[in-house]
Amino acid sequence: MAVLRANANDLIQLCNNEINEKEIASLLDSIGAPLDGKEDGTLLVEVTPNRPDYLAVEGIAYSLLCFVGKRPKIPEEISQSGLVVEAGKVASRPYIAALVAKDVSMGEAAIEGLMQFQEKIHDTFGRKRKKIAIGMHDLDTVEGKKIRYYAGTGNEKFVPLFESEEMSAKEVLLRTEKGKEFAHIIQREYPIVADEKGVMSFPPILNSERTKVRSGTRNIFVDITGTDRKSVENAACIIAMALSMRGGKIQSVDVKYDKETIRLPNMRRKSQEFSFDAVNSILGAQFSRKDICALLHRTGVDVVDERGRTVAYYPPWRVDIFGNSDIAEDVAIAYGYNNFEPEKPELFTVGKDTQGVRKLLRELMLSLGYSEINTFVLSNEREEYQKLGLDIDTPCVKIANPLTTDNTMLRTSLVPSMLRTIVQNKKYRLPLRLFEIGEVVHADGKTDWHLCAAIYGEEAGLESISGMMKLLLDRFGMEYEAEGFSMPFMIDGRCARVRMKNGSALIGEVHPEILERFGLEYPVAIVEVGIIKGF
Amino acid sequence: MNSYEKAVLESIITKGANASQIAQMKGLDVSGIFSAIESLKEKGAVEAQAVETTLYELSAEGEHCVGAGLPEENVTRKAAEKNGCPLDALSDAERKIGLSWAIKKGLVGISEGRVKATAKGLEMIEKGYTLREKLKAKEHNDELVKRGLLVQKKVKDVVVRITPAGKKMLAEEPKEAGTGAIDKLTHKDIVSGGWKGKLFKAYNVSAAGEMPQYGRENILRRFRKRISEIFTEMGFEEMEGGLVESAFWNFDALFQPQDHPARELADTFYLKGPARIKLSKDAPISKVREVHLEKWGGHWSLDEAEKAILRTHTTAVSSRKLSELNVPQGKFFAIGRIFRNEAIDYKHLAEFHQVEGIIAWDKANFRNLLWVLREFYRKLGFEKILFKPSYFPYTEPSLEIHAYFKEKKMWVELGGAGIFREEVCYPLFGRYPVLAWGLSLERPLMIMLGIEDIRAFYRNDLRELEKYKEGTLTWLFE
Repeated sequence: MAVLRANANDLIQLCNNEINEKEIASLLDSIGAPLDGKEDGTLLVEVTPNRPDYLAVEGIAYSLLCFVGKRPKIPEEISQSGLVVEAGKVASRPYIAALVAKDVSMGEAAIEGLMQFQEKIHDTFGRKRKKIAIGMHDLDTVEGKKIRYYAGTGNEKFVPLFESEEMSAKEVLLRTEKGKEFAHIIQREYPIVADEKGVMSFPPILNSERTKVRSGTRNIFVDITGTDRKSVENAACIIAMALSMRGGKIQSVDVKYDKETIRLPNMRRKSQEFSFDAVNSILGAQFSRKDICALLHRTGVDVVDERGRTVAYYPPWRVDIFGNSDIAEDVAIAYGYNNFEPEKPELFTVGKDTQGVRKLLRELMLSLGYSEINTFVLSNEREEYQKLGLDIDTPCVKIANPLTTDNTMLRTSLVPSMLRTIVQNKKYRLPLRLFEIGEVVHADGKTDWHLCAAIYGEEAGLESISGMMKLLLDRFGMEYEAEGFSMPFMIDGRCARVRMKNGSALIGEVHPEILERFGLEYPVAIVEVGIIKGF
Repeated sequence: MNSYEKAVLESIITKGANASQIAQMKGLDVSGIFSAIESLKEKGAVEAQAVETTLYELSAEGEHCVGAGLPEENVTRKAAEKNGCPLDALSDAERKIGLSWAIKKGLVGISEGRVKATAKGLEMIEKGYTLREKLKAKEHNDELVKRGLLVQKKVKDVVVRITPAGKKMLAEEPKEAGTGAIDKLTHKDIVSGGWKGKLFKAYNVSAAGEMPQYGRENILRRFRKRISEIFTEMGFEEMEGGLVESAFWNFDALFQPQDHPARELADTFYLKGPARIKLSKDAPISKVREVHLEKWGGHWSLDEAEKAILRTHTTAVSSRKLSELNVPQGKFFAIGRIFRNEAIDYKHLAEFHQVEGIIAWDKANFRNLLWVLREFYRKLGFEKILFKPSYFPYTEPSLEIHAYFKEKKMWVELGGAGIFREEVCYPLFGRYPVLAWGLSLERPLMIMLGIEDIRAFYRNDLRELEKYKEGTLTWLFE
């Protein structure tokens, strides 16, 4: 979950001083952007992925103002800037949106906020710039009315942001920090945004130094490129809202694709049909229509009756409204989750657990004086196989993207983790009697439950552990047959495979060579049984 | 009191001692002494402190020298012959090492190509070489260490001191039975009637007996069991699933778009083998595909959905359950392991547990959800809980549950919940709504018990977990 760092004074100013700092925490809860903490003058606000508009402090201010009944006016009709973006074929990021904001007053907090928004949206919603990338430019440095978006060859030269010498797009990937960081996104073609003078930006990598936004910049041109048209156009909408909240006059840009021309940003409110009854039935509430309309109004949503259809008109930058349940959530948030009276569900059902045999085995083991352990299923081949003298290539489920060499596979037996646990406890009073009922996962991905029990101490021996196993199997009325078996980590002649009707067990004394390897000084007798049906 | 324990107390009655010294003194093995000390500690008879002591051991060369003599000693012996010993009669090794040490120590001198023992050298031969004695006794000596004959070894040891209680115990330890008095009452005494007319030796009735060892439940498993009981008491049926899942049940069936950040490598363990889990033909593939295409746009790939992963939440168990459910309603819960591709530290594990629950019922609503969650936490001992708005791709409305910990005076987030979206319910189950939640198993227990490090639950240090006595959790079972 993203956390927005909002300058408290800036936020209060954006709210026209309608809200004081004291009220902010509870109001943030009410708009669904809970306060996570405070660091002198900075509010840490939790932003959930359904509300990218909250990644801009202006979006939070908009919702706060709506909630206290002072909804800001964000014009739905905007004038044309006269700029045209000619979008060529850019297969890797085919979509572009653009907008112009005039007379923006960009204070320090505003610039900081905008930069944070850009960074956060790149990281989350923009899937690390792959899906969306935003470029901001000083409109007054843009030459001409025609801007081209096309797939370049990589030889296009420009001075990248914060650099002093000219480089080709190819060189940008090799020589600049951002270039190196995001080079993996560029494949074959080099997306270029250019005006009549040359390259303005090389999305999603870097803008040009020539068109950069400086302190004192009043007029801004924004380009947004990406792989998903809806997301790109929505990001334009959020930016337009944010700049508008800063006093900017938003103007549209025409984006000309091969077969169509669209005018962006589209600031018209979006609509969703819903039903009052459905909202009440989801919430288990009896709100009147008036209540629901009033609550929705506080979330910035207007309800209109259109010839019998109930339609919610909501801010165009919101992306989280698909149907009744989304409207219901807005109503519930505005009402306050904790103001609902919980209601017992009148559905009668019979409870049942599926632990069955595992529960009985566990009780039996505890009554036999064995202590229960709980270990990880994730492990590595070194610990699970090599250390026990087993083939390191024993088939098992293997992790494709391990973060550490400790977690590279799933265990196929409980024995290695049992031995590790004995090591962990060898300094305590002996004998140790331990057991675990836990999952193992076979190479085909199937999960099974096993029981493993071990004795560590002078009295550990095949006889004591096999007596224990006999008791277990007898209690469950299972017939079995034991036959000599050989395992690299057990003493030959003191290891047996036990066959039951449809399962098996391994039992034996651990070889002193393995004990030595684990740093154990007393014998270990161990049994592992698959917990199967019919147990 | 067993013989080891008695040996320990007897050895330290006057002054403190190291476990290793006691073992040596009494001719017993050190690990037996260690375990006796542990047990005496439990009885309050001793105080023990772990220390590191330095021991000296013979190197291979040292071992040789103990038997065969040190090189300078051997050279001196040869030089003690009448007229000494010609230089070239010494071996290379004797010349190089033995001779130079012997000269340095003033044991021999060289004149006219012959090595002759000095008076000091002769005395040494007569009385024996003290350095060899030291070596034999493995006594610390800088020269022996420097010459690599003795090897320094750090060993963990325990310094034990007897407590007043321990002194009392030792004093009260039965001495040799007085003539005629019965000590341990035996089978023979009883059947032979031999006890008749005899006195019984008096025991110290206030002495702490020997604490039995017993089978102890793992604290996390015990908590898990209680949670399972609470849900069954509330009429829920348990559901289970495998740890290896296809992305389909873990993500797609839960309306998580295929480019959702949670699906990225940084959060999810993908598998090399099996890399793919083929979906059964009963899986609602086309319905799920449809809803993704309609609501998220872009494209939806079966390939992506069949990728094998370690389940990242037990909600994968719920989505499967819903699709297999052939009755119109039900209440289910699961408690299971889940996996996140995260770096492990005291707050994070790559593998931990989640408590899952669903209520599938046409009349279920948001207020019912709040009631069930409140009731569940009330049964776990939390009187105050709060709900906060939240977001999950598969629920709407969504909420977080925060509980108040009285003793710590703090609010802690314990889980998430919501109503499964229509986009989840209809493709899987054909009905709406379904209430759902996913709660933390470890976190509330950590806070209740004051455990700072989540790894404690999986480390299985019996002593560490013993701190959390059953008594501290009695409220769980009230």
